Amino acid sequence: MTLRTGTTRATLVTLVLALGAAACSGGGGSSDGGGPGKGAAPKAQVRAVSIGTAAESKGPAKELPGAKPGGTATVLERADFNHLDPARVYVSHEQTAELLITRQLTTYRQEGDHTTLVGDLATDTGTSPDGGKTWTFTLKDGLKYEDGSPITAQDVKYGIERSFAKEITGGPTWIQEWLVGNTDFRSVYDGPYGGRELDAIKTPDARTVTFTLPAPRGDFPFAVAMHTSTPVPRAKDTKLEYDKRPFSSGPYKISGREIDKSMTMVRNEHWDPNTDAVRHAYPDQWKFEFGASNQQINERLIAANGNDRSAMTFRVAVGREVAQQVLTTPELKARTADAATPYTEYFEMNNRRLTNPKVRQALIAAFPKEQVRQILGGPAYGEFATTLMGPTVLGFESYDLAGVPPTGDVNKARQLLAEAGTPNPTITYAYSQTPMWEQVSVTIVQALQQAGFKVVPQPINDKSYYTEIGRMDNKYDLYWSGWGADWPSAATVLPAKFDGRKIMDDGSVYSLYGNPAMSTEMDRITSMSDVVAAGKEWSNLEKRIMADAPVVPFVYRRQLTLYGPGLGGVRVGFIGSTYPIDVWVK
Amino acid sequence: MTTLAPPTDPPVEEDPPATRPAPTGLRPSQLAWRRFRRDRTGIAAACVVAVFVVAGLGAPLFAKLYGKDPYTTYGQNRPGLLNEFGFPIAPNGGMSGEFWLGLEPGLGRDVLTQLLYGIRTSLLISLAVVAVVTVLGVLVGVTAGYLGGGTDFVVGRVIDVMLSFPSTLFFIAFTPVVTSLLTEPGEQMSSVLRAGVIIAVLAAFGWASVARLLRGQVLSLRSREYVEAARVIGASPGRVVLRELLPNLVTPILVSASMAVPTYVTTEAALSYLGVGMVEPTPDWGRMLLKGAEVYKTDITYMCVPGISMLVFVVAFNLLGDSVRDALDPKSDR
Repeated sequence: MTLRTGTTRATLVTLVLALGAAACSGGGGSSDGGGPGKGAAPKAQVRAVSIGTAAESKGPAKELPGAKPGGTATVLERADFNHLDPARVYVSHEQTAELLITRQLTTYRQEGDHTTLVGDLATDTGTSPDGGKTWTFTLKDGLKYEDGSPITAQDVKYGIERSFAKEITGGPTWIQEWLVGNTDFRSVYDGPYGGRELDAIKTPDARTVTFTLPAPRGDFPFAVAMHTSTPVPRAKDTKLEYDKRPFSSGPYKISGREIDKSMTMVRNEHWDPNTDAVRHAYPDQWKFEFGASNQQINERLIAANGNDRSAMTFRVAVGREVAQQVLTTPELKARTADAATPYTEYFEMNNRRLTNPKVRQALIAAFPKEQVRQILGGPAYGEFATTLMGPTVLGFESYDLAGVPPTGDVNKARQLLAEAGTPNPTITYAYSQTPMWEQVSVTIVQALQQAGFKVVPQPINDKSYYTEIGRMDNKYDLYWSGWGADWPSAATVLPAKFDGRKIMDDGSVYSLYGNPAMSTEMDRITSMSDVVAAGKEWSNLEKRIMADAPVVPFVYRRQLTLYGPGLGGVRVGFIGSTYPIDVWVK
Repeated sequence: MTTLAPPTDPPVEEDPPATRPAPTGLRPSQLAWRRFRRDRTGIAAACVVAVFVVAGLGAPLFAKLYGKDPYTTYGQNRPGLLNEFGFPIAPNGGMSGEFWLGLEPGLGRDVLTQLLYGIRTSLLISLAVVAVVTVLGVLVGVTAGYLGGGTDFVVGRVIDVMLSFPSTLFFIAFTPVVTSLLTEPGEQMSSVLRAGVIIAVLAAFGWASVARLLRGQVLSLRSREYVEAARVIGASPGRVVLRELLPNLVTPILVSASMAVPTYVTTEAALSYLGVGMVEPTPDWGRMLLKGAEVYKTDITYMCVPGISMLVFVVAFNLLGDSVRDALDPKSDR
């Protein structure tokens, strides 16, 4: 989903397929610190998530070498979690917090560099007798909430039903749309608060839940790994209040919370590790602190004084101000979690204003990716991108249609502009008004002007940035945005970003690119049941879209975070944030 | 500030009477100048301030001689100056024979010319604010003080309101509003217009304190005998204000203006630091400090350059202000 402005902010969900080569394995972070390639990014590897068996879905999670239970781990975040209601979370650090307090039908198990989709509440990843139209999940034995009451199939159904309610907004909508076969799913079913049930979900007994979809969806087991499938007991549903304190089905429960300041999680004694294949839950307690700036958090983690010795952060990346210090100091580099994320960043071109593809190609040729990345933090920020989908998506293939160096090629851009018949087009570059993006604008303006563009930099208020560039009639030509896949399929990237039929105010097609031929092709590939074959088709389609030069691909984002020396098992997880589920206090 | 002469220096007063010139009437300004010249701190501070003013206003000339400008991103255009993280490769923030004060991290612009142009920006803006504030403050203050009565009451309350206003918050909230009012979407605000907005916003609050000071002074002067006498012989209010009052107000006006310059330099820097001041690519002192505070762990030099220079400038200007007051008005309490 959309990446927020500001380097380290943000981000709506995703799944990473790629795993960092270095410090992300569970070995306590004592990786090859201070090796030769001091700033080298981890190589993103394309690796299909394998679908796990029922045996792999069985708990308990495999013990990690050196791990021990007990202690208090601290999490430092810039801002409090906006949502904790499992039906409303869609931002990576909120989803990461959910890992501690809620469980879903399926989830991802990462061991070393291998990732498996396994059953979480369910005994396996679901079965479909009819090629993806009907999906049945059976719940494990011994599942309990924080008050000791059993987790039932009816609660899973109710949890999904309430995500249809008009007040429960913000979460992913895949399951809802698929269940009713309509993108405007609330018009078909408006949630359980009016007393209606959703007939597409059946619960013949307390341990079986069956979904009936109007169209086959091979991706369904992946979709129920998202937090929409979290069980919620009807009696405990406090509607909007649920956002502040969800009822725990996971290994911890919220014991105290001061919004915007702090939060404490303590053990949920009723959580049985034998039912859980992925969560280790070593620390006795989690303490969250909110409110410090990214720079302050990084400096606290570097200093690691007092309680900060056992502190980590879910998403505050090592920013440009400390990147060099961290990556060139072996002691600090040894306590970083580092991996490629599913996010790809673009500089979107407004295809409705820049209608001449030659002009767009010239912009791609002239764009100073390397200079811009240098301002944003250099190699710690990510790898240069030349494609639309990132290397973590199934079917990813590296190619470079523009064939220009990352510093930009002024001569090639000039030549393209001459071919377009407009040697000096005027470009409005919109950016979020923060000191960092202001500096980036200096570089972009200079580089594009050298190529012959006339550039008007246009700052936009940081808070309304996405609203402004999301207008269909915006008056800008070039603007940054980021996008990550919800699970490792291009079906969650290309249709979201480049399907002209989805152009709307506040939509996600910021480039306003529309090509009916491409949209038709997207429909065809979406209905394919073989995900690997579909991956190949997506890649072919992607090259065809890129031939139209709709955006300037910028970087594949990297997640590099620090943690205190008192923690072990810190790694970057599947959604591109740093995970708490393997962490122990030394 | 008056400094004690070192014991080795012969005290001025003990000059042999023979060499002492016959006592002649000295004009107040001459007396003030004489007092000022004896004040070594004042002279030193004046020299420092003069260096800053010359350096700032002469920035374009200097940049021409030095062969660099504050806009070119040398570090990005030329490999070998910045490392992959965007920090200068050479020690001390990239100081070298070519880049005397080093390079800016990230963009790789020349720090020395950035600083000089930044000083120029800050100085010009603060001088303009002081000019506007002083003129406005004198007009309002003298009018209120001289007319008294209802006018004085109304003006006094307005000043109260202005002085109790949380001005910094107002700057942060108001500047973007003015900026968006004055620019069409799709066009960039020129740096001159932006500077104008900053001057206007700062002046909108600054006049109040000057006006209050002047009003008080006028109130005490108004009942003096020479003013009464001028009134009695039928002088017009204009003549009384211009000929009788204003000449006696020069001292407080000068002192308040000289003390206000460093205040506005820091305020302007603070605005840029808070993100509502001058924007890229206009070089700015405050924004350099902001960036310095961010990169200080890796590149302390980049923080020291604008930081120390601003410290020196503000201290020197404040000392100069003190000396000016001592010279003009030796009896006043400090």
